[in-house]
Amino acid sequence: MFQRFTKSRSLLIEINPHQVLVAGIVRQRRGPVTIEFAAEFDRENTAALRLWIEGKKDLRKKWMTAVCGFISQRGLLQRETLRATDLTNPAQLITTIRDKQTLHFSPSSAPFQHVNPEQWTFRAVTALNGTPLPEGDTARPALLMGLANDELHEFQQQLLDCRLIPQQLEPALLSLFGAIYQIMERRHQPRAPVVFVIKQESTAIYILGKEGVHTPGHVSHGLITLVQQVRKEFALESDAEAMRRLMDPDEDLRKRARKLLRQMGAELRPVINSYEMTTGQPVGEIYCAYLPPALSWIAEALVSVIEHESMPFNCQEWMSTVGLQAGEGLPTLGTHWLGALSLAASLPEAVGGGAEITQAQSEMFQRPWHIDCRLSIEPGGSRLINRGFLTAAGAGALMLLSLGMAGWQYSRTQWFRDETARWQQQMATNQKLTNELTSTVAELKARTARLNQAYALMREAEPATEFLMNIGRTLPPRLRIDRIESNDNRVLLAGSLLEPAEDASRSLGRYMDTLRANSAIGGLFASISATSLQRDADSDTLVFEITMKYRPQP
Amino acid sequence: MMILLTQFWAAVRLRPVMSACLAVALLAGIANYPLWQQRQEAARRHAEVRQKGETILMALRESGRIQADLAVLTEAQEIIDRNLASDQTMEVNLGYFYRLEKLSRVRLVRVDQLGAPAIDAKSPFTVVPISLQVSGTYRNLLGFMRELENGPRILRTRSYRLERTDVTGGELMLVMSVELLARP
Repeated sequence: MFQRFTKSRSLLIEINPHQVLVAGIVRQRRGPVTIEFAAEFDRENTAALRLWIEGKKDLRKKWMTAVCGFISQRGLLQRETLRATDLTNPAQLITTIRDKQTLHFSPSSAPFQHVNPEQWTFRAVTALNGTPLPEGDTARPALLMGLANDELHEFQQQLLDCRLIPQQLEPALLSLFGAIYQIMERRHQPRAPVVFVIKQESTAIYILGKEGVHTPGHVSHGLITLVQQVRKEFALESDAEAMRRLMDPDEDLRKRARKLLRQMGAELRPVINSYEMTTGQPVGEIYCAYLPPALSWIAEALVSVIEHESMPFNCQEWMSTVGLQAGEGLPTLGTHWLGALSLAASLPEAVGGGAEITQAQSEMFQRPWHIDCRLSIEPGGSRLINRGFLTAAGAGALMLLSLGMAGWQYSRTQWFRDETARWQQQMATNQKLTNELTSTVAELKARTARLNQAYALMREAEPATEFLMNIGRTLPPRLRIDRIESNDNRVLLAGSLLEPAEDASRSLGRYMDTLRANSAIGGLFASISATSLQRDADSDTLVFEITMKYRPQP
Repeated sequence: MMILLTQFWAAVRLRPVMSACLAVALLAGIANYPLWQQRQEAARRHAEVRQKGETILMALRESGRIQADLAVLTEAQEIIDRNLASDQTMEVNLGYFYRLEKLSRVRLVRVDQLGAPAIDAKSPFTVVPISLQVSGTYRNLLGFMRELENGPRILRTRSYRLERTDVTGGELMLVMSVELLARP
């Protein structure tokens, strides 16, 4: 009994080419979905959406679930004849799409020329009633939806940035088709309604015939073309000015609306005519989807140009037929809300609650014309990456780094100053000792200099007595020294050998080798050589002279 | 400009924590520059003072050794000063050699004091050249030379000639040229 009154609140969001439409939905257990409030934002103004959500007292909780729809900018929606198994072979699907596109484009300019199958998601529903393609080998007309994975990730990230967990992420066009089919069925309207989606650079056409949705294609006239025409027509200086004029049309602009839209109408009309001629089914009313209220006059003028009628539609009435009801104080919602509200049409009980729904669970709540295209980010899980959190964490880290750096520099500066002061204090304490030591060192230097001068005057290579003693120690037998002369440059040894001449020359050679090898003598001299060897006239002895040249003093 | 400011303010309001963090980071980043300059200056000053202080401390630690060195040096200089010759007192100079003659048992045949060479006027020392002719046995002459080297006078042997004069008797002749350290 109490469960009947249990409320769960979530958001309904549609991201279309021009706006982001947001509605707060509350569902009671086994009751209708109540639209409590609604808001509209510019397509790119995520910040305003975030602020709005944070400003809502009821929504100010950490994470909130949302049922989301989007209009893909780069994806495609195309009627194809497919089997369910064809979806398992994306590469083949891409080839099929490309082959079809080359009929309308040159081979090099076809949009699907360079597509990586691994980076795209393909889904399909039956073109007739929006149900999943049945298993089996029978090929059926289907609406094939191709979506770039990175675009899907962007949508999901955009929601996560607003602290929203998508319960479902649907191509909003499909649910819009479902809503229009339902409206037409209730009105027993036999003619096929047409949906125009005017985008920035092109306008897409979808015809909702008896045999299902047809996707005749795009015409290359979009909002930008219209802006340029307005700029030219009114001689405006900038596109921004022209856009402002479009958003706030005056009487003059409204008068010239047919003229401005004539070119676009001229391209759209043959497409419709072609459908009528091909299928034999007449085309009825036209619905220009997703145009914001400020641009809704374009829809009226365009319908007038192609000589059809707008689809009459009352949002409040339709809501009651699909399990939706307006909350208290909710302003009347315009026709551009049809796509957004269709996301919540006949909403299963589990969807729209506060609980998260995984992709596997979402298949249980699948409705016709609704496909969940979420990619594998488990909301609320540990892998959830919130860009805002990462940015804030980065900013926090940067702040901590800067503060840490500044703190470190300050503390190091203080440390240097303290240490400098400590050294200066120590030096001041020892100043007297330092002065005394300075004078001592000065005296030491002066005395050392005086001593060095005495040494420079009295320096000798070796004491003469030491040298003479060493000569005496090296004398071989039968060798006699008769004279030793020494000066600053050399030492001369003169003597005689008491041996036969042949032996004497050998003995002299050995003696000189001994002198050279002697560490006390050889090290003093640069050269030791015999400068004279003569036989004595009076005897048989040999008289010799050995000259030893001192090494140069350093 | 106003649009930009409005967008900026909206972004700040959207992420107040992040905006505050970035603002603080920016301020801290700006403050880092003067802090860096101050740190550099303080580090330079500290290095200077520290180097000076370490030099002083090291010198103070070595002061004992410096005092000892100075004492040794002073004593050595006193010895030098006490034994300096003078070119004005030839008789004293030559008498020194005669005194050694007796001790060494050699015969001083000839002793001449030569003219002092020119030496830098600022030098605290000068030299007095002496020419010697001595005869004696090898052992005695060597003893004489050793006395000269180790005696109180500070002396440098410029040249010498030791020659056998008597082959059979063992008599030798020593001709020496020496320089005495003297006060100018």
